[in-house]
Amino acid sequence: MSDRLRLPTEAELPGLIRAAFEQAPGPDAERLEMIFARLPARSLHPQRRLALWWAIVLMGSGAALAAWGVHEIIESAREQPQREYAMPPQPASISTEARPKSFEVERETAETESKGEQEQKSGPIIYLREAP
Amino acid sequence: MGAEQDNITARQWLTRYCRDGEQSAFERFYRSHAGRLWKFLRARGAAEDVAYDLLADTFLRFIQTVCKDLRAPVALLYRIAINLQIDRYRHEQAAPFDHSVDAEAANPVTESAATDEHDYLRRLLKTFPEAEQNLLLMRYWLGMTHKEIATTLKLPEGTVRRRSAELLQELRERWSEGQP
Repeated sequence: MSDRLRLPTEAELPGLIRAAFEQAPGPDAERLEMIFARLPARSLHPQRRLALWWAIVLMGSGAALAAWGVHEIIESAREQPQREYAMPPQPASISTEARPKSFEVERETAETESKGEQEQKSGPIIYLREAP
Repeated sequence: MGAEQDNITARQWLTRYCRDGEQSAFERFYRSHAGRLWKFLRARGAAEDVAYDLLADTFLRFIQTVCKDLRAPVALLYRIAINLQIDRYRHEQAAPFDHSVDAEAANPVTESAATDEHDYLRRLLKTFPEAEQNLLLMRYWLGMTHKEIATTLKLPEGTVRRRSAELLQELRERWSEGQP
C-alpha cells in the first residue's frame, strides 16, 4: 500500500495526522445526547453551600429570637392584670369612713381591754381575788 | 493557536459552570469535546460500545473533579479517559489492544487515495507503543501543548517536547519502510 502513497514531509505529517483522525467515523449524536442527559447537574460550590447554610442558621436563629420576644410580650401582658388583682390594698388608700362599723366596735373593746390591763399593771393592787 | 483558543474557551465555560452552576456552559464544553474524545478512545483501540461507556464514565469523573483545578481542563479530561481505558483493560485481563482487528472494522478502506493515505497513517500510528500513540495523538491531532501533554501523561515537559519531534521523524521512517 505504501508503494502507492507519496512519502509526506515532516512538516506535512501533523496536518495529515489531524485530517486522518478528524475524518474517522464519529459517534452517534443521539447516544452522545443520552450520555449527557444522564450526567448529574452541578451542585452548588462548597463555599456557596456554606454561605447558604449560614443564611439558614441566621434566619432560623432570628425567627427563634423573634418568637421568644413575642412570647415574652404576650406573657407579660397576661400577667399584668393578675398582679394588679392580687396586690393587697394600700393602707393609705383606705379611709376610716369606708371601714365597717363592726370593725370600729372591735377596735374600741380592744382598746379598753388593753387600757384596763395597763391600769392593773401600774396600779397599787397586787392581787385581787375574784368574787365568786 | 486554535487548540489554545479552544482551551481558553473551555476554561471560560467551565469557570461559569463551577462558579455559577451554569449547566448550559458545561453543555457547550461537552458538545465541543465529547465527539473528539469518543474518536480518541476509538483510535486508542476501544470498541464502539466500550467507547461510549468510557466516554460516560470519563465525563462523570470529570465533573466531580474539574472544579478543584481549572487550569488544564482538556488535559484532565483526556487523562481521566486514558486512565479509565487502562483500568478497563486491566480489569478484563485482556491483551492491551488488538488494534488491527478493531481499526479495520471501524475504518474501512475506501477507494479514494486520500482515505487510503489517512487509513494507512492511522494503522501506522497503531504500531507505536501506547504512550507514544497518546503523545502523537495529543500533540498532532488534538493540538495540546507540551505542558498539557506532560500533565496528562505525567511526563517531564522537556521529554514531551523531545519525543514529539522524534516520533514525527520515526513515523516518517516507518512510512517509507512500509511496515504498518
